[in-house]
Amino acid sequence: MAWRKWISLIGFSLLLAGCTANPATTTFNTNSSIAAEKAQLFNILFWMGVVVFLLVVVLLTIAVIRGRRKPGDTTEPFQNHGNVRLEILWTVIPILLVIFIFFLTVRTMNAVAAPPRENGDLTVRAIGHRWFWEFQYPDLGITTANELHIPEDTNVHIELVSVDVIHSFWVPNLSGKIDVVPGQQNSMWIRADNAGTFMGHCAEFCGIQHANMHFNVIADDASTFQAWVEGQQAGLADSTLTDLEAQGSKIVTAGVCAGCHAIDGTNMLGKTGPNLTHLYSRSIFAGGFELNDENMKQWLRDSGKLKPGNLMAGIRLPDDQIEAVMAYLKTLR
Amino acid sequence: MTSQAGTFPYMRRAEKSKLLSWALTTDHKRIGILYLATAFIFFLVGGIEALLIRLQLAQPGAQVLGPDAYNQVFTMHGLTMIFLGAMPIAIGFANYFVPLMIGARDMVFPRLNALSYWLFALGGLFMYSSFLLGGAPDKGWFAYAPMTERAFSPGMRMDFWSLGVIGLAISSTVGSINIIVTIFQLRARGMSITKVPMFVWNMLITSLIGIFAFPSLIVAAALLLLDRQLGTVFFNTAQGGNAMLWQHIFWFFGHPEVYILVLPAMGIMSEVIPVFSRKPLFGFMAIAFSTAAIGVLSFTVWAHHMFSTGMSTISLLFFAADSFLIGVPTGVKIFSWLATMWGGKLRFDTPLLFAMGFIVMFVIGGITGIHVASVPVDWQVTDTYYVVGHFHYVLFGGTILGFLSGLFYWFPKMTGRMLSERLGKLSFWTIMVGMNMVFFPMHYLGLAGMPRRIYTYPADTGWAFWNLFETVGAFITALGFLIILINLIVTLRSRPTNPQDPWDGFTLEWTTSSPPPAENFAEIPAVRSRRPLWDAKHPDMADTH
Repeated sequence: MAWRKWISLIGFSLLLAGCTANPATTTFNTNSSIAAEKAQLFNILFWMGVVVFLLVVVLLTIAVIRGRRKPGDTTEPFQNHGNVRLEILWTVIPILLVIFIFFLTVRTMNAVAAPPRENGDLTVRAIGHRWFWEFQYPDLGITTANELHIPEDTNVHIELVSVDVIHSFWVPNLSGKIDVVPGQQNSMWIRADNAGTFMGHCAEFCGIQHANMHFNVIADDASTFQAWVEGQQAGLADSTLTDLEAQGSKIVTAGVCAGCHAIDGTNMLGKTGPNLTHLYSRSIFAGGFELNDENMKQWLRDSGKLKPGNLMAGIRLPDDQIEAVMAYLKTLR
Repeated sequence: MTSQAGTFPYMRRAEKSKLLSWALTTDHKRIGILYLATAFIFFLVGGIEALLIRLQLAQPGAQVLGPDAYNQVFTMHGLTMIFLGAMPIAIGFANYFVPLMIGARDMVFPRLNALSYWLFALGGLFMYSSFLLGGAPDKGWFAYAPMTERAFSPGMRMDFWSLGVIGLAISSTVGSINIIVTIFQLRARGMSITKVPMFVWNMLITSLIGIFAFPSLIVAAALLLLDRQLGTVFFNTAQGGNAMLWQHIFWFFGHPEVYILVLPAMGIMSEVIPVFSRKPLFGFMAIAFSTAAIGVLSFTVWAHHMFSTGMSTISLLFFAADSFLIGVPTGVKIFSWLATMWGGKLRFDTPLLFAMGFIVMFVIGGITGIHVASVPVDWQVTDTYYVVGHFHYVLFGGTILGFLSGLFYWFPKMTGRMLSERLGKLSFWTIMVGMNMVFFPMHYLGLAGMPRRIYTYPADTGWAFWNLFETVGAFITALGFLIILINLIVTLRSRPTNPQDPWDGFTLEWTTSSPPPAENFAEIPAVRSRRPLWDAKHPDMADTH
């Protein structure tokens, strides 16, 4: 597949030398046969387009150069009304071209069509919420958010579910997008050829925080993935909480948080917000913010500052509770 | 019409007050100018909104607009450019020039004409009044359900969208009917339907598309209004409504709309290129049939806006194939224009410059249009900046450049004054540089993973450089329009020279004074060929058809 990657890379990037896009979120730097097939098709169409464009520009340039009027020339040119042969020619050639493009399209659609489910495949439910992604692994009993872990070299079937408005699931390096439509069962598949972290986005405008609905797909080798699965399946470590953590636990589980969030092993069963059970096993939260002390502190103090209009924006923790809550949240690994 | 002045009291008053006489006018030329002037103002407002969008996106995490303001601005930018800018500019040109070009004294329904203008002007003001009354529509010009339902869009913003769009669609429907009947009924003696100037033919096809497309939009907006105000559940998925239903009804209008926006500009191209090449339009009938073919095909491709919604493979293939096919008649036009210039003796005045700009820019938009019609490519690039780049090459590189060509071409006829060629050429080159700086990198950004309609983006995506570059380009484009504005103001304040036929034109509008008198022609000319004025000037080389 290396040559395909290579071709797709030069397709556009040559043209815009000095491009700086993060290789983890482009359609060029494919890490999947699905994305590679699409990039290859794009590449063919791109170069065909270049040829057509140059043809038009060259013809126009020649017409302009030939058409310059000599000074003092006031005569009119030969009055040519048309030429049926030429007109047929530039109707038929484009028809042949689009038929060719149509066949390329069909070929690529076949190449990227979802293969039948087999043993060893993984099934994931991607649930679009305003404005974050929830991921459920029905066969593994895992619910998480913002980060989708998958094993490399494995077909992953994704069931797309929306709980509110239309979203669209897109990981440029791995595949194209399919919309997540409420009341409709859509599905797609992805496959990562190699381990790595790839940025995903919601691609369908879904309201005020559509811009902050990123997620990460983390493709692991088999053993790392297995370790992650076991970590997620295990209950929370039963270690005794420090006083500060216990204080935070009380604020979280007895307070408003339970209305929307769930933490396994507690009374919190909310489904609207992301499942917090293993919150601190993740590296991003809230649709793409890095999970660090600064962001989390800001989030708890006034999430509307970080992500205006988010559904938790009205809930602000007083400063004296933030330290305890953060201490407790950090035990959720 | 002057003969009515004694009949209606308001007409008598109107004769005394200049303002009232414009407000109450039913003269096609005045209504045309009202359309063009109003639409140009809305176009400038839409341009300012574009600059705000570009300022917000100039760097990651910028704070120029918050997300709420950004969503209102990008929604209003789209609505403005489509419904209040481009479409009324086309209708304005049609109002002024269709009667003149077919040798008629007015539109066939003068008062209906005034109605369609006022519905447009007031519809636009109604839409913009939302900014003062709780906020403008903020769910995109396409207003996808169920996001537009009350559960997700409380307040009145989407009601402004629905009612405003219904008003504007009625205005356009009325205008379309008027144009169609005028072309069918009021052609000069001898001007058979195959001998109308190509701009007139394009306006006929555009209007025919319109009267079939706008009802679909009105239905969509009305159903949404019912959902929101009376609790029906057409699109309310929480109660069994169907989100896809919205997209099908909307795009059944929405895609033909693209051709409603671009065909009038193509019509202008087919007038300007022959005159400035000193040759007849190459392959007139082929272009005419291509225009009609585009009109028919435009109703069979709507679902290519929905390739990622989970349609069946067979539907995907059908809509992809039809979308590819539209490339064929479009290609015919491009090559026919090139052939018209080929062997001509070109006069590089500003109208031709903008027309050549159209050819080159529109070809880019056409090629990327083939890209996005290819389903697997579309799965990657739909809802990204690639698509934003694509349709701006069509609607700016095509429609707007075509309109600017028409502006410089017809301005002397409308005002009796020639726009400055020096400023005109300066604005042309400024706009060409600016627009390519804004829109070309969008293709790259889309492929680099940047979704559309985002008010901000993280720094680690690496999208910042080209976004900043685009913002610089946007301001260069704006500078180009500032030059045009200055050109308009300076020219309008100069003394008219009233050139009747400054470009040595071919068609009937150049046989009357500039500006034309009331009722246009002292005597309706008889027509034998497609270029009546050419025939009169060159009886030895007269056209045979």
